[in-house]
Amino acid sequence: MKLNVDIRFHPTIMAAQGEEAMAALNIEPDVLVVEGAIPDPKFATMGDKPVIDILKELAAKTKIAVVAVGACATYGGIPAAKGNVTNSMGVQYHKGKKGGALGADFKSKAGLPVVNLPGDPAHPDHILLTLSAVILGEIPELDDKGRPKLFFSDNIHDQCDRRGFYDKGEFAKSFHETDFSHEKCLYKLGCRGPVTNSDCAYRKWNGGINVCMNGGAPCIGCFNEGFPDDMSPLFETIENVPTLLGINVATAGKIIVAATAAGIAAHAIRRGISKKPQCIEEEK
Amino acid sequence: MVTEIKIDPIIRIEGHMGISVKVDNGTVIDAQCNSTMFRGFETILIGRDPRDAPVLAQRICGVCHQSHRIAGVRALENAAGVKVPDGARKMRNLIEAVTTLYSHALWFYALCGPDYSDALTKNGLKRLDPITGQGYREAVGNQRKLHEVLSILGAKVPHQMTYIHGGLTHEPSVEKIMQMKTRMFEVSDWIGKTTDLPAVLEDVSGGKHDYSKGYVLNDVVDWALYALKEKAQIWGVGHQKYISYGVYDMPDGTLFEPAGVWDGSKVIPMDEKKITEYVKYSWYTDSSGGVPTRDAPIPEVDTEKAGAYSWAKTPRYGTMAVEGGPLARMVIAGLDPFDLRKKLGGGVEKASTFNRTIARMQEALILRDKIMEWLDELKTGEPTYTDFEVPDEAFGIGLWEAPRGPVGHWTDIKGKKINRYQAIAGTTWNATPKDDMGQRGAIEEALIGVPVPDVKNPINVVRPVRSYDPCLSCTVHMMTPGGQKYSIQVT
Repeated sequence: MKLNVDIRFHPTIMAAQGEEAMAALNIEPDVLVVEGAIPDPKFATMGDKPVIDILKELAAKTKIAVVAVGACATYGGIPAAKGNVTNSMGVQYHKGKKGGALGADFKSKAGLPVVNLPGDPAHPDHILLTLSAVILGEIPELDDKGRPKLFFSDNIHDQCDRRGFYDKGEFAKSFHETDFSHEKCLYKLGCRGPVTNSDCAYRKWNGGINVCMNGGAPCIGCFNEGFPDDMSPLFETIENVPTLLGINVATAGKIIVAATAAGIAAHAIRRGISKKPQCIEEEK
Repeated sequence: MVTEIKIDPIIRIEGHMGISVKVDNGTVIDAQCNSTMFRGFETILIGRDPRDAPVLAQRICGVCHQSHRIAGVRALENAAGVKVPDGARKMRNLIEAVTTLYSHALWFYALCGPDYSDALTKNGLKRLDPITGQGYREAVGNQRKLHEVLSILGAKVPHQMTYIHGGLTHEPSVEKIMQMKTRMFEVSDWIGKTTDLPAVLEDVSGGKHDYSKGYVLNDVVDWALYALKEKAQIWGVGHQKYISYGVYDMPDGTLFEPAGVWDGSKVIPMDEKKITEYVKYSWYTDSSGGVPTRDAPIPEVDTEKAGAYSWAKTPRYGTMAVEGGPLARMVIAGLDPFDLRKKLGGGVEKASTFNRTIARMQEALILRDKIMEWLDELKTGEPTYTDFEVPDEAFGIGLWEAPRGPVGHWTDIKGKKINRYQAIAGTTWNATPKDDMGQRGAIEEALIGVPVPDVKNPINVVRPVRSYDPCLSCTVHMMTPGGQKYSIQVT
């Protein structure tokens, strides 16, 4: 099947400049794709107009769906992290809370809330498949963070190619041992796979070539609504990250934190984490 | 009559930018370059684990993500006094070189090419047409292959994840080397052999295209001949002074593309203590800016500041207005393959829209050849990591080159946390407002004298702007928190 899309405005590929480019925004889009966090009016403008105003006007006219792409547009990401002075937020969320630039109650003309595709960067497959579905009128089922369940129900740790090393208790103690050939799990170097849901561990990146953990790099939880604050410090083991206590992570993550707090040994944590994450239980 | 033209947004660049020019008698007499977005990465980094800074600062930009990661890691390693093993050095150089080749190819076909295409100028160069042009389409495919190579080296792109404090998180293997070579051979065939460039120049000048000698070579020569006809070699001159921080670590401690400053007549050594930021025309208080050292004044946002028109600050080498990028690197390295800038561009060191573009393509060819050589130097299982510990108190500087200019990170660590963080990106050197001395920003200066015969079609304005490959996401993130005090520590 061939899908024809008329891209009316895209700042890196369109030919028009300046006024002509701004005029291209004078439309009622079927789908509005938003990248980047939305700051207070003075911190981002285009054609002398605050980006937040452009977003609100276009979102009100959007027929099918507003799709927020990337960590910043979905939940605020780094520009919304602690220490920011721009009051940046996501399109319909601020970190894990509904609200954001368009407000908690925003719905497109078709009655849809903002569809969130998090990730730093978002995965190209997620973008392409979601947009294709939305344009064809197939609305993806969303989870409680506005994300398509299809891509964000699986826990990264559960799907990781290194999971077997974890189950055997083989942990890399330093980056001397992170090449895949050493057959070690990256958990103790700060891997956020256990508290992050996405299908990246098996979908992989760049045409199925590689993924962070396979290249020896611990997951930083870039798909997590709490990225980066709730994931920091990135290179500390989860049990050493105070911000992870009490946040709404998948059950697996909660068990880790609870087990650590109780001072239970590593093998018990391992048993705990192999239980099914919350999202699967919800679907029953 | 003076007409003011405002182009906002400038399309086909990374980030948000506007340009205002004053045109009198068909010529640009004044220009203002506005960065229209601010995020404040540097304040966000305060108080965090220093090891997190390269990972978060990398996300300043999705195009030169690797440059910010590298500069951040170098600052951290400089602070900790760590030297990485040779295996990491080789893999890191490959990450930088492949990203730069990717960025230059993307720029030529997707960002610059359309301005010179048949679709926009009716000149017959249909291969450069945006989206529908055959050249554009091939470029997308080949960029994907280069991203695959980077994914093998960096685990994923954008935002490669393997470049880490103390080295790299994985080691070369026969399988990885073969996967990278296979893809590089394909990309290389698409580009064409460097040594075939004179033959392609002769062919295309005679109206003949032999694409078996490489699509990129043919397209670049097509572009060059048309650009010369459009006088791109005399527009977009700018300050004609250059800076490079230097890039690619060699085993003997030198840099393959060296650091230096071209002062208008000769190369002088680059002294990092002379890097100074000015803020008279930026939305920051007057006491902001200065030299990015531990005791530099603390910058503060001032959105009501009279006369200010940009979120970018204005970096200078002392008081000297300089530009960065491939032309700067080629001039400072003394490189002009096949005398293209000397013979066609009016001089090896001359700045122009033409020379900036040709230097970028010359660098792409040099790097492609180096990538093939460096892949052969990788050794299976060679160690790529050395122990790293976050210092308790330290100051570190990481200087590097992004594809589009010098990128520097300065990290000040106190109690194993970031006390202060500063970053100056490649495009900050180019897309700046005026400085305190009244000198225009590099892009602003380059626009002076550009002919605009039809004020309704200012394509001549955007061509020189684009020759700098501006990437505004990087440029505007500079600020440290107001009111925070700290004492000077020398460690």
